[in-house]
Amino acid sequence: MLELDDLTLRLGGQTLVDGLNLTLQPGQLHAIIGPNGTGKTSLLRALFGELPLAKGQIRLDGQPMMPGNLAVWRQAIGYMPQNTQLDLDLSALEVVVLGRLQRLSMRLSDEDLDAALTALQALELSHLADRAMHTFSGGQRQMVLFAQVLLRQPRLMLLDEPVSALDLKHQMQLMEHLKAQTVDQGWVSLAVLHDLNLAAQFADHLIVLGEGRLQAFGPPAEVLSGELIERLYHVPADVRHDPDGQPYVRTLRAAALPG
Amino acid sequence: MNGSATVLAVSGAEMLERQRKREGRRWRFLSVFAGLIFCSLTLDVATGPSLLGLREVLATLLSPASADAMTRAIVLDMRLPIALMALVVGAALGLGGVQMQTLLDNPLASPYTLGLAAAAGFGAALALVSGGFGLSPLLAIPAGAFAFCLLAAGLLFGLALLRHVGSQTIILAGIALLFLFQSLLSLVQFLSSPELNQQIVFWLFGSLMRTTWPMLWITLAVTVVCGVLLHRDAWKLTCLRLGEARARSLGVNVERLRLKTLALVALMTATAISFVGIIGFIGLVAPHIARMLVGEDQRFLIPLSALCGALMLSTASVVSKSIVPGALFPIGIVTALIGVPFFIWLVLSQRGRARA
Amino acid sequence: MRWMSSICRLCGGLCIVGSLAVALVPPAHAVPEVIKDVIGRSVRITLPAQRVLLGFYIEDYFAVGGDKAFDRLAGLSLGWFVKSRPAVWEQYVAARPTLRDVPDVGSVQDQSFVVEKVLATRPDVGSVQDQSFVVEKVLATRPDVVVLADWQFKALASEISRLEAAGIPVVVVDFNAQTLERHLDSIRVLGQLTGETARAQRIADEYRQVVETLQQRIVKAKLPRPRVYVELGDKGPAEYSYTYGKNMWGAMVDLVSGDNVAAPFVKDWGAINPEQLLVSRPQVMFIAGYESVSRPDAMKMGFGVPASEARQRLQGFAQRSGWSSLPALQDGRLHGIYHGATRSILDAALLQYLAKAMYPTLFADIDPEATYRDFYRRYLPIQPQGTFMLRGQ
Repeated sequence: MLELDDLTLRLGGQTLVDGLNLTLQPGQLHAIIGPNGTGKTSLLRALFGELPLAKGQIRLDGQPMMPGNLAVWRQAIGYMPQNTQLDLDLSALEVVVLGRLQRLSMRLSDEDLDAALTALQALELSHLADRAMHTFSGGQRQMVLFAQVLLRQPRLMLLDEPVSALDLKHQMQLMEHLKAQTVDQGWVSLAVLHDLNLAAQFADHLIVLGEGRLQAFGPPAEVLSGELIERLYHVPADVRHDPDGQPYVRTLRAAALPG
Repeated sequence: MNGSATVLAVSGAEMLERQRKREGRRWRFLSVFAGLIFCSLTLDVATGPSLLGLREVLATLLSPASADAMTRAIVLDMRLPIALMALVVGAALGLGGVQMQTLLDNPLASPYTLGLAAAAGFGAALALVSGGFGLSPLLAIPAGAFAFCLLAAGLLFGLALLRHVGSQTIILAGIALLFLFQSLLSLVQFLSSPELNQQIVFWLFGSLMRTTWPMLWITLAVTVVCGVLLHRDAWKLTCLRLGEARARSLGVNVERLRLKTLALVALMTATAISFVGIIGFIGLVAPHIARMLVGEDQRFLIPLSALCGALMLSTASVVSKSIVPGALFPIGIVTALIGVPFFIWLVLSQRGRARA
Repeated sequence: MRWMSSICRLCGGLCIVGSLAVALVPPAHAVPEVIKDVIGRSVRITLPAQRVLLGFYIEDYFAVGGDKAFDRLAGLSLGWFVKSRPAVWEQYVAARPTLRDVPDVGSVQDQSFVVEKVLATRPDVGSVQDQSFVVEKVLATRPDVVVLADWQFKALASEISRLEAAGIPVVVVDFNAQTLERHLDSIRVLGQLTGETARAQRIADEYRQVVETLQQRIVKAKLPRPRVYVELGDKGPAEYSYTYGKNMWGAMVDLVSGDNVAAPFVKDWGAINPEQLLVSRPQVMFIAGYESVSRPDAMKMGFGVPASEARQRLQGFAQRSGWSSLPALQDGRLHGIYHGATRSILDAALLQYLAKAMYPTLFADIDPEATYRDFYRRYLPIQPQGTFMLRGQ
């Protein structure tokens, strides 16, 4: 369980997030949405302990984050940052096994390799295990990195735009696995997503950030509305609902100029 | 379900097998290079103006008392320390190069491109020109080179301590230092007499000829200690190859790693350069060769870079003795002449590598 | 107005010369003559020159010119002389205080602070070596002639025409080549410049006699040429310093029929591979030194250097790795020798010492040190005290 108490973040003199109060239950995937520059990445970084809190507190399963002991705090967190270069001559197995960095000895034990392989298998990637990273497509690389995070056995999962650069197939694949693992492992998962529809499909809750504060929090069906999107993104949009209640967003092109 | 589980299990075991085989291959590279180094060392000790046969050289090495005074002097006092120094300095440079390239995520990083060598050159020139501050020049020149090398490293260090400073900034700062010290060096050369100038230039070219046993022991000790300390971070450095953000996310304290690595590399490089002058391209090329053979697994890349560097310098030593027998051919020129075309070949051959 | 200053100079010259005409010098000519310098240039100049600006070869100029030469200096480029042999310079100044009185033409940029102290007192126009030799300073001293060494002439190539355009003739003299012809020719030129042609002739004849005696005896004896190694010991035993190929000591060794082991490997000067030296097995070895050396174990020779100190430093070199097995050391044929007397008329004594060390049976009757001191006694106002040639034993 993740608790944010009156969280305030400042960066470069600007208040990014002011007085954020949230309680997030385990086993649920939460999508952070909002326009660029509203502190979505900064929130993730703050949760990881990279950005100092101007005010407020974070607690994971009752344990507060202590700026002096970040190493311990981070052990429970899996963090997928935005850009990871992987043009490397390392096999997928070797990359994934780094998820167990803290427990690795000079010689890779069979146990370490097994764990890495298991993670790859969970994501149906075991056939890529001994291929070099630089031979993979963008989607495959992202999946391998996801496997790496799996190995950390986190309780809190933070993903910064995990699917932005991926094609449809890999987008769906990653999100499916993310959702499945979140439920299976009881993670609290927070993912910054730009694709509102993807968020609507997979997230249990949306955390809507805008203008330095929490604009909305709740299940997508309740939160998403054309009015919200227009207010937030200044883009006219239409939110419709599927027969099974799932919302989907349809952005509208600007009306033709008068005359 | 059972069938596919079996298939998976088999393939899983096979995957582990393959991983072990890959590691085995890397071990084999290390052994091969160690063997090559041994050969090069022997060749180095056997090469020189006095046409001693291989058998005689080996006999002198194994039982010094049996050889006559002059052969003993030649083999044990002159050739052996130089040949061993070539290995140690080459290893130090290779190590320094690979660490710099990993740390700064730049294939062109090396202690030289960051101005450490230029600073050392300036320090040595100052010591030469000022008459050594009263110390004997044998002491003053290495001391001057060492001091300024560490000064430059300290400046980079201080920069790395600042927050929000990425690899790019450090590289730019290093290049700025490089230009600064090269200009200062040129100034010193301009103001000094032709004789001093010639001495400075000769020092700049690098030479193993001044090696004495104490120098060798010091350099060896420093290199081994730094090398071991650096290798202990092999996994963290492998994480660093995934990018700073990723490394951080895996729990690596990037700032501390950076500082520690910089400090050790600076110490190692400063020691090596202060004794032998500026020998270039080893720190740049050796890591690339090693990387082509064992990839980015730092557990193997680090030691193989060291072995590669040692082999390169040892070979260069043999070549430099063979070009103009009897005269002292600066080894720095040999490494440049061999290193540059080799490097170009490396770069061109890598252009075709598949990038998904 | 160049022609005006030339006439002024002529008048001034005439006055000085006229007043000196009472003395023993032959009547000075007021008409410019044409002389040939050592590299074959024809120079038009009024002789004897009254205001001489010396680039180099200061002692030789004093030796040939005699007493009057000291008063006819317009300026000096002291450089190497003072830096490496300051004690000698002090002695000259003590013997001829007028050396200090010549007007100061400005400070000198030379990186040696030893030189700085001495330079404050007389017009040093800068050292050609370190680019501080400035033509303006030269012109300011209003010389009648500028005397340069051959290497200075080559280094100052572009500036020479400026001097000549200013009406100042440039004469080249060369002792650096270390050949008999150049030495004799240089003596002749200095004699013409100072008006001391008879004295110059005497000195030249004596010099020729010394060298030819050496060479004739060696040729007649038909002994095998000994293998010789000469090194400038300024870096101490720890580091092999310059040895010589074609020039300096190399040329001198050649002059007295020695087999310079460095010749195949070193073109002009440079360090030899230590191992190569051992392989060459030299039979006679010389370590050259001068007075002001910076290292406590460098070879030190010359004015004011006690023999014990020189011997001690030489012994340091004898301990070099592998040297104990060389023939030179086993036969006790390691010598210390004075670097300061090279490139000068005074090297006659050095040549004698080299020959004697290389062919001891042929030159038992020759005393090189006596030759050295004798020259000073007869031609120069100072006396050398110190160690100039030494056999390490």
